[in-house]
Amino acid sequence: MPGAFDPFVPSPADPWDARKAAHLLRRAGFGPLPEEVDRAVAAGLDRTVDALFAFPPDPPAPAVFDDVRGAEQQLDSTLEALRAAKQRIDLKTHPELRALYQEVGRQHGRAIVTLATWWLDRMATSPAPLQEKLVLFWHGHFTSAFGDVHDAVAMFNQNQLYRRSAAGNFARLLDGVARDPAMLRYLNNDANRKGHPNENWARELMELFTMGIGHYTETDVKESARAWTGWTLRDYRTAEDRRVFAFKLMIHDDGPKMFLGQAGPWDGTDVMRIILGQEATPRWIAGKLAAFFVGPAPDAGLVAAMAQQLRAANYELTPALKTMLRSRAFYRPDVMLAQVKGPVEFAVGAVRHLGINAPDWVRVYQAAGAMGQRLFFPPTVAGWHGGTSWINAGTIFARTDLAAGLISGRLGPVDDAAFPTLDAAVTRLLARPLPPHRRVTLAQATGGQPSREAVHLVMSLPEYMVA
Amino acid sequence: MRTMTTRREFLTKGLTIVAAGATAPMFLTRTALALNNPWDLGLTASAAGRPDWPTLVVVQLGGGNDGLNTVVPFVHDEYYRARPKLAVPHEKVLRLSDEVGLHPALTALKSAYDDGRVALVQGVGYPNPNRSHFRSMEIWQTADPAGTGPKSGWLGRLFDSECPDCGSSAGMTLSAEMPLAMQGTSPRVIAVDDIARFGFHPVQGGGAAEVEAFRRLIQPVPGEEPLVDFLSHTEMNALLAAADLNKVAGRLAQDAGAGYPKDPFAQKLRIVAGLIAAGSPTRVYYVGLGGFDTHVTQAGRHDRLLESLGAGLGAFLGDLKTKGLQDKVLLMTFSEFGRRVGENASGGTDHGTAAPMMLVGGQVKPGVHGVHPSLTDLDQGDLKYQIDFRSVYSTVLEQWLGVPSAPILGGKFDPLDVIKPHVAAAVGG
Repeated sequence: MPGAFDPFVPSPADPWDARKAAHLLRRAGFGPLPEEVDRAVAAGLDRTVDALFAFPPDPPAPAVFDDVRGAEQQLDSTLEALRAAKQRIDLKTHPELRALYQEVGRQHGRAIVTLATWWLDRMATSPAPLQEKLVLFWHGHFTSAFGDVHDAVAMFNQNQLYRRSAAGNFARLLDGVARDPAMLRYLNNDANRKGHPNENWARELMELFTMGIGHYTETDVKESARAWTGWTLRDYRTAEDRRVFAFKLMIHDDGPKMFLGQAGPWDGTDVMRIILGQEATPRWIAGKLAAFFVGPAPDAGLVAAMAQQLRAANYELTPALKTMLRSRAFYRPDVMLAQVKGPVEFAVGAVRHLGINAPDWVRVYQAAGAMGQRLFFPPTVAGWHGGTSWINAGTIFARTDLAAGLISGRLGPVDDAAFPTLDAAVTRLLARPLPPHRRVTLAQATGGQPSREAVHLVMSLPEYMVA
Repeated sequence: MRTMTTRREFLTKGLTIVAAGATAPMFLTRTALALNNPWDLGLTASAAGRPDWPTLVVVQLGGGNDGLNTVVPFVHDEYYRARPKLAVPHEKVLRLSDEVGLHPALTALKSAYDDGRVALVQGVGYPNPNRSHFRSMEIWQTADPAGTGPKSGWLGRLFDSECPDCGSSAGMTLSAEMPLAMQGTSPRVIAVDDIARFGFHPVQGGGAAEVEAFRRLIQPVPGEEPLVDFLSHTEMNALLAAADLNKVAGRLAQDAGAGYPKDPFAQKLRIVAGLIAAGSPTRVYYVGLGGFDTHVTQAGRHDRLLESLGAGLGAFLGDLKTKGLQDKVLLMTFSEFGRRVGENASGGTDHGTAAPMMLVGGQVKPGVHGVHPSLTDLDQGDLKYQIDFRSVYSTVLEQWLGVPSAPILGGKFDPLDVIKPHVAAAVGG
């Protein structure tokens, strides 16, 4: 009897077909198109999964960061001149600083929107959508919010870290996150000093990022916070200083600690090593990945197999992810189309389905925010809850509104040729037949024509909200 | 629990609705539909001193509000020793008693207190406090510290068990995201952050015909997959609520702000008052004010947050008074925890435990209730709770909303003496 984690093997009774291929591409990307589904059916499951992991090299930063740096350099050189002249830096005595500070803030505010739209465009157009789906996963896992970090460049650097390690090694990714300036600022570890510990990062590291609640004590949190003292930013003088990690021995507490039952003069590296050695950690990571890709209550056997594989492969993520995407558990009938599309997934998928190239991404970004998911602004350090919590009477209209806006062509020209008939529209948008009562009602209401109203109605159906 | 509506009560209520018709006709249809709902009995105006529409407004202070700097124990030297930078100076405290007073940013709340419309419950918490935001917020929202019950909200269970035939908007949150507190087994709560635009908008040129087609298309059909069924019901409910909300938005647009501050928190309370005045069938409103996680440089930030809180509550109470509704609304604040007694080295405070709750409205028993937790007998640097938050919930459920609390809270928690006795007796009896 094969396990839930064993590979799905197609048979004449249960073939590798468009239904399953569309399921794989939906979960591993954003709104697959009929021709992509056809290609996946032809290539077969194994080759399709392998191809999903061919990630391109790092993309360059959006150009808008030049403006940010320009404004920062103006402010920083003014501050430097004041310091050199031994002047007090104070908005009362130097009101001219106010405008410089405001300009820096304005540029970062612009840049974070540009960054979000740049990322949305990558989701829609990248040859490796799984990479961007994983970046979205890590953004919701190792959360940082622009509202607390106030630095679009640092948020971009963090985003690139997630892209570079999207399906790489979790231990390396964790190490990068622990030294990531956006994270240091978001969870205040930059203010964590010997004798004056700040527990914020130390707590979330275990509770949300690696182990989950119930596997450590309050004492472990306090001892871990001591170990993380001195993991901070290079300096606070210039904007660049605030974007460089530094370990400062002077403010590090090198005394003995007792952490998760192990005694020693631990620092952050030791804490990570001890955490990665806990049984809870691979289980937690596997569980979170499976909840994101498979569903809110993923098969326990699958999660256990993924956790085992993570441990055996020294936390390499790709083998466990491939196991998941090939597994029998992934293609169970009660798993397919049983997840609510997240807002970003819905929005990017809608843009792709309507064949809109380079739409007004700012409007799409705002619309996803109204649906409950504003990139770079996760609501709490726990990220987005997902699942049915995406859906309520308010967010559902945000979805139908975005669909209406996109279909109207106001956000970019729609490829009308993609909807030659009503049946073609349903296939393209839902990748499944409509239940009979909805098919009849839709045909009556639209006269059987693939009008803009008809496309909007299909994109407003419960069936279009699920993945 | 009360029994089904009798014919006599039906007639009484029918008359009540007609009598109220001049001011609040718009929800008449659904109010009439909801008549055989036991929870709806609160509508009757027969019991003396009993509100016609007992409405609850829950205000969530997200991030962990610093209770010690909200209701300040200014008489205790330990407070000043623990907080050399952050303590509110003696002379600035807005004194409520010989022991405690309000933070100076809460002047509007102090006026309401002097006016007899504020009850403060001190030292509220729960056993074995959890210092994680998420877990502790979950505990307050589920009212289930052990985490053994179903993962539903206490208000969601209220709607499920005591309001089985309620319409789709028994509860409303003024935010895009639905709080766990409001989540139950059926979607009878709505989340809305812009009541004017709320609705299904057809594509350009689609018009009313497309809206009608949408309404017919989303009719839930037995036998649908569970997720599609959930989505169908949510879309139906949303469509029903939209028409009512748009009308109220139109009314609010015509009054000139009614003295509310411009910040989002106050504006949400303004919408709540407008909806209540319009006779909305919603019984529980949920409004959030976030940003209380003051680990770093707390001083200015916390002042501004309290200013926002106090000014918003003050304007809300003034508005309710003008509308003649102050005796029909009870507002309750909570936060997932207070903060540690000692300040940290970053000019902030870390996660703590017990903190005060506020009950605000015309029918509260005004004053400072309970005793302030000891500032010397601490648990890992944190206050020990005096009153279980579920006792506050049971007070609200039994003495304000008039429903048995034990099934909702998973046990019996003694109500507190914080609601005016004649109201508590009429509602609870």
